[in-house]
Order: sequence, then structure tokens, then C-alpha cells
Amino acid sequence: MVVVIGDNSVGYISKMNSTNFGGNVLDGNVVINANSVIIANEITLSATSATTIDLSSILSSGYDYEICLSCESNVKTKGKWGKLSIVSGTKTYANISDADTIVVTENNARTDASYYCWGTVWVPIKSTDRKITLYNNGSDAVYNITIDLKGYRTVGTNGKSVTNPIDSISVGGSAYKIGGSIADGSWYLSYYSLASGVTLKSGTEYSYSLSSYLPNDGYDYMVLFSGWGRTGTSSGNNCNLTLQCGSGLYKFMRCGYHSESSYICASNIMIPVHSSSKTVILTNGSGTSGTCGLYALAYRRIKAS
Amino acid sequence: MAIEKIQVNSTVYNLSSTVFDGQWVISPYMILQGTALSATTTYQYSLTSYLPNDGYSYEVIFSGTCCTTSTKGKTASVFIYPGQKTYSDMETLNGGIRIARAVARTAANQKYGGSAVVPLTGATRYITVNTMDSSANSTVYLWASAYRRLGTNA
Repeated sequence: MVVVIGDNSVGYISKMNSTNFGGNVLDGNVVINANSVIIANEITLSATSATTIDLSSILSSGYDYEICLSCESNVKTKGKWGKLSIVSGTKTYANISDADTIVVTENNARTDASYYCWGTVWVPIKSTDRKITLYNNGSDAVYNITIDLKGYRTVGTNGKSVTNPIDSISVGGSAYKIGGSIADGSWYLSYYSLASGVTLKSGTEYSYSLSSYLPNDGYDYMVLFSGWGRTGTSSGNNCNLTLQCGSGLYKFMRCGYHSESSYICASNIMIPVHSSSKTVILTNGSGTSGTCGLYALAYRRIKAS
Repeated sequence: MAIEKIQVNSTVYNLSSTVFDGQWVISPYMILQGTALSATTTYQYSLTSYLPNDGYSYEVIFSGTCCTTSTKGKTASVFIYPGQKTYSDMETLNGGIRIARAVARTAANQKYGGSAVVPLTGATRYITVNTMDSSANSTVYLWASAYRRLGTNA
């Protein structure tokens, strides 16, 4: 179905508001912060405790949001176990159950060394409670919790249904296809191997093009990646993997060598890929070695950022 | 501009979730609670009692944790993928969406945790959970914490 504006015999848009596009009804653009916005800086969260971070000074009122958080945590004493999760809104420890939480990192130290974990998650935020609650239901403290608000988007407030999907609208004689220029498209499950068993050199960047994976249509895409890392087999080897696309730099996963043999970790990450730069850069931190794999699993066209 | 309604041939349509995405619904739902998963095995779980039965695609936020047994060298993992997949399918997908993986390097268990936003396309209300490891997981927890209906645009 095509909706034409300006011709009542076919149809018209009954309400437009030039100030609110991408918020009240539709999702907004994905905004990736060029610089770090640290909302937690090297904090410690005690065992079986929760703490709330107020985001109302960062996120405007009146909108729901999806926020992208890049996180790091550490457990550093033999026998200790910590688990860092995030809950949308304000909650007390007693009012949180496992199923309420979005797990960010979990580790248990088996030697007296730092067991760092990294993860990047998307968290829905309601306009009525623009806070997140950090939650540790491990038996021991989680240290060095650092959280960078990498980006966000407003979420539309639609909830009711209509009977016919709308393919495109015409405004002033120009056709706008819904599903990219105005609204997001559908998810496509599509597997694409970018790297498998690649040897990681210290402080080296590995660039992977998505130009043969994503449609060449000028739109931005949200892409879901999955990957794994394995440290080398020497003491001090770490696997500190970040993923970069455009101005966005995201913590992907991290583990360290602590005894006898290599350690492993695995994670996934969902990030926006800009039409003008369909390249992702995988970087391992300095002083490290190991191997890794990186795979794209799904993509979805999104509004231009 | 915010477009709230479109009128077509005298019928007014709210521009809502058939075309555009719906709101996030924060709703906890436990799928696995301390379950031991066998090595190199796929498990399929239905979400029909969790998600609305309306034929729409959904995004669901899953979290999971895995734990190895207390034997040196043993691994544990929790990987996930939309729909009902075989182990061979998951191998082709290199495990699917990796939520967590760990290996024991001492004679004590090792843990790892993570989360993922997973698109369940069309009327799919199943997920496949996979270990992809030659070792059995001692305990796996997996749950959904929120979902969001998606628009139907191509």
C-alpha cells in the first residue's frame, strides 16, 4: 500500500509535528557518542548488593530509550566470584530476581590475579524512570566497574495495531520507502564469517569489510556480531578485544591467562554500521597474544544516523 | 516530524506496531535454572507462553551464565540462535550467538556470563540453545528479561 500526501482521494497524514520526529511515535536515530561518557568509574559493588545510577541529566525527559553500555569489571582474589548485571530503572536488591537482569560480566578468580571481563549491552529505559541499577548477586565483590554510555536512541511509543502494512509514503511527489529512511527494516538472519582462528598480534588492528555482506543501498544497518577469543599460553597473555566501527569503539570481550594454559571467552555485540564506512576493526590490546573468531549473524536496516 | 496517523480512503490508521516497532516490555522469564547441558548437544525451547501469539517478529533480551565442572581443561558455554536448529546447523553458524564461554584451568569450576539481543523473526517462538563443547556444562542459567515487537517493513 502506498500513502500519498496532498491528495485526499488517496490519503493524507493527519498530524505532523516537526519537532518530535523520531521520538514520540517512531524510534529516533542511533546516536553514537564520539567521546566517552563515563557513568561509572572504577567503582566497587559489594557482594549481594545493588546501586542505582541516575541518567536523567543525560537522557532527555519524555522519551523511552535504548542505551548502549560498554562495561568492564574485575574479580581479583583466588576463590572469589562476582557477577555484574544491569536492571532498567530503580530497584532494590531485594526486589530483583535473576530474570529481571541483563548480565554484563561474570567471573570467578582461581588464582590471585585480576580476572577482567568486558561486555557491551543494550538496555531499554522507560521515560518514567531514567535510571539503571547495577546488581551483583555473586558471593563476592566486583571491582573496577567502569561503564561507558556509548550511544542511545529514542524508542517510539506505538503499541496499537493496524490492519495493513504501509510500504511507502509520498510527500510532495517524492516517494519515501518506509523501512529505512523513516523507520527501521526487518531483521535478516544471515551468517558471514569475518575471521576464524586468526592469530592476534600485540596491539594490532584487523579490518574487516562488510561491503559484500550488507546491501549497497546507502542506509545504515544494525549488525549483530558473535565472536570468541583465546589467550596465548604464556603468563601475561591476554585477550582484550574491542570492536570499532566509525567513531564507535566498543568493549567486546576480555579474558586473561592465569595458569597452565590458555583461557577462553565468548560474547556477542550489536552495533550500528554506517553506510559510508562498512568496515569493522577488531583490536587486541597491547602486550597480548592469542586467537579469535568474528562472525556477523544478522542485520537490520536503520534510520540514518 | 512525528507521524501519528495516516488516513487512506477514509480509514484512519494509527502508525504503530504493524509498521513500526513497539515499545520494550520488561518481563522476566526463566528458561534454564541451574540445568546441566550435555556436551555437543542442541536444546530447543518454546517461548509461546512468553511472547504474544500475534505472528509478529520480536526482539528479546536474553541473559545467560555457564559454569564448568571442577576438572582442569573442561569447558562450558551457552550459545543461542532463533528458531529450531540442529547441532549441524549450529556448527555451520559457528555456534550462533555466543553469550558466554569459560574453561577451567585449575581443579575448580570457572564461570562466565553475558547477554544478547536476539531477533525472533516472523512467527518464530523457539530458540535453540547449544553448548558446542566437548565437555558438559555443570550448570547453565538462561532467561529473557524484555521483548519488543518489530515492524513489518522490508
